[in-house]
Amino acid sequence: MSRVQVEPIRILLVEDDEADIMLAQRAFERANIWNKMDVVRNGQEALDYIYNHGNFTDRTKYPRPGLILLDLNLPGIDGRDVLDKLHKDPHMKTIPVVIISTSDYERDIEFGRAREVQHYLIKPIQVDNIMETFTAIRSFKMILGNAAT
Amino acid sequence: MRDYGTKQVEPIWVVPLRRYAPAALVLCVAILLAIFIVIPMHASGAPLTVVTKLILLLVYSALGAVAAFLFVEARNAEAMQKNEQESAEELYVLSERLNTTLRSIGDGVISTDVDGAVTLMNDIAIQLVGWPLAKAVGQRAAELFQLLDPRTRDPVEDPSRRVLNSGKGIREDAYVLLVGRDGKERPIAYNAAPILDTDGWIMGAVMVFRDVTERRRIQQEREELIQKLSDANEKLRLEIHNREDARRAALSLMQDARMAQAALKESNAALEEYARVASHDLQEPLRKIESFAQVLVEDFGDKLDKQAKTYLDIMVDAANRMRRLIRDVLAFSRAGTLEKPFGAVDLNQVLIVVMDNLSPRISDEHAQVIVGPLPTVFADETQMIQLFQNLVGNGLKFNKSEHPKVEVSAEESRDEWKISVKDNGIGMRESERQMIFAPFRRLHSQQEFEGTGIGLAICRRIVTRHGGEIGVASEPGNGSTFWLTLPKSTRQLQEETANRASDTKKGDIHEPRTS
Repeated sequence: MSRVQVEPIRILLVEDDEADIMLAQRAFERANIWNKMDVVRNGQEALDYIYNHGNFTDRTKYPRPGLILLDLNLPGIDGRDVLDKLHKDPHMKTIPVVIISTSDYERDIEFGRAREVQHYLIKPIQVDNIMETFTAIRSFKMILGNAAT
Repeated sequence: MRDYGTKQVEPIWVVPLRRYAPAALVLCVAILLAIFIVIPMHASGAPLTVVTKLILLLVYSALGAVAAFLFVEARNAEAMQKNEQESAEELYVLSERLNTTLRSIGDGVISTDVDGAVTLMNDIAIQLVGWPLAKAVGQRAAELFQLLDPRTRDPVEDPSRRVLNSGKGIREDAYVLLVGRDGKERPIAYNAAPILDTDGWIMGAVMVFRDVTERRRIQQEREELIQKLSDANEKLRLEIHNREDARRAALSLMQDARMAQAALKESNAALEEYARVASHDLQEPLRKIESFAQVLVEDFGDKLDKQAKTYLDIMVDAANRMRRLIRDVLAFSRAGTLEKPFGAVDLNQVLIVVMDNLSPRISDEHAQVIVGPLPTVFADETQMIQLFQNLVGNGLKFNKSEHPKVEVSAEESRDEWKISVKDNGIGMRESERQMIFAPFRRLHSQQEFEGTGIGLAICRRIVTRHGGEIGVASEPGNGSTFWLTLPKSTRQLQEETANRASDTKKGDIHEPRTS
């Protein structure tokens, strides 16, 4: 018996490439996962969003994300620094993080594994790797239950 | 009678007679007086006056005293003579002793009196100066011989003179040349001292000469030997120095080599990084082309006619190829630079990995890959996987048969293994065999078979790095057999020699040995 998703999953996409943002958004639509996606384009904005600082002080508009899709290579504060900070914060480390990357560098995979990311995704984000991601994350089973593949 | 020098020889009875004669004479006078005066007087009967008696008494007393005196004198003279004899004897003994001693001294001894005249010379001195004793005695030393400085040939002061003037001894023992009567120069060492009497006054000088010819000779020999040794030493030192230089040069060369190697490693690492970053940055836009072409078709498929879709396909295809080309160029550069150290690699395991990687294709094409027993080699595992994946993949790719088959087998010889990958594919011509290992060389168009032409170039690079060779035997339409050799590691060779000696078979299964 699958439970019903009562609200859309809040996704924070941390990505600076416009084309990749477009592809990600499109892919999530097609994957039929009920979601509300917010996009930030650099590490500083990502942290501001999560901690409700700067332009993102409104907690109702910018609640705690249910999933963070994090590109490692960002201008300014790098995705790696963001991940580090989140991992060190006991309150924030429980947010599922999926790394999105252009490559499968051993180094980066290890980096992510050391910080307990849920999954490692190679761009472009498409329906099939979204499904793969959500399957990999146990706590998302119920979300998948509602998604029509 | 002994010769006491210039003493005369006399018969033994003469001396006492002479000595006592005066006393005897006086006695005779007294007796004669008595006979011719006193006794006749007494006999004549004339009375003797007192005066006459007194005179007689006086005369006889005087005569008696004189006789006694003379007698005592004679006795003293005798005693003196005896003393003299004894002294002379003593003197003689001492003199003899001195002479013998002097004669026995191995050095020449010359002594002079306080004026410098020679008083004594022993035999060796006589030999050295060349003057007989009789002629030498009484001469000044300077008249008998001369001393010269052996280096400057300047005359050296007569030592006896020096001693007599200074009152001090010379303990030089220095080496000088003595020129004797015959003019010959003899190397001697001398010392001299004043002869002092019991009150400390100088009464002469004594010089001692030692013939040091022998000593000089030995010294000379020794010096020559030392010189020889020193020369040899010098040579050795030079040799060592040269060796040191050589060693230092070798060390510095080694250092240079090491530095060069480090620099090369660094530059390789930098190139590697550059190639990787460049290739990723190059691939990214291409990926976008592919992604959005796909998106275009998916989202606007119904609005696009067949021609439009064809154009899109061509674009996507081109982008795809470009990506693969970049990826292969990267792989090619990595094959030469991203090298891991060698270790023991079981090729059976490698083929399992390869088959796993190729499994989708194998099942899609209903292909069969047969792997015979393969050895364990000393190699880079990642590169072995790359190598065999390329070869087996090619065997499957360039294959138009209904049941593509690839066989991998190994042959062993004494120093190496030869591994063959045989397929039942399309084969190639003789002329084509040479060029396929060159980078980017393809035998077919993209339409026939996709690919970048890099695969075999990578294979050759890997095989060369492992010290082996790669080649192909083929006939058009009859499939190809790609072969490669991998040398055995020295340890393996050693093990095998040991095993052969003890006649035990190895754990690994090998193909029947070909000698």
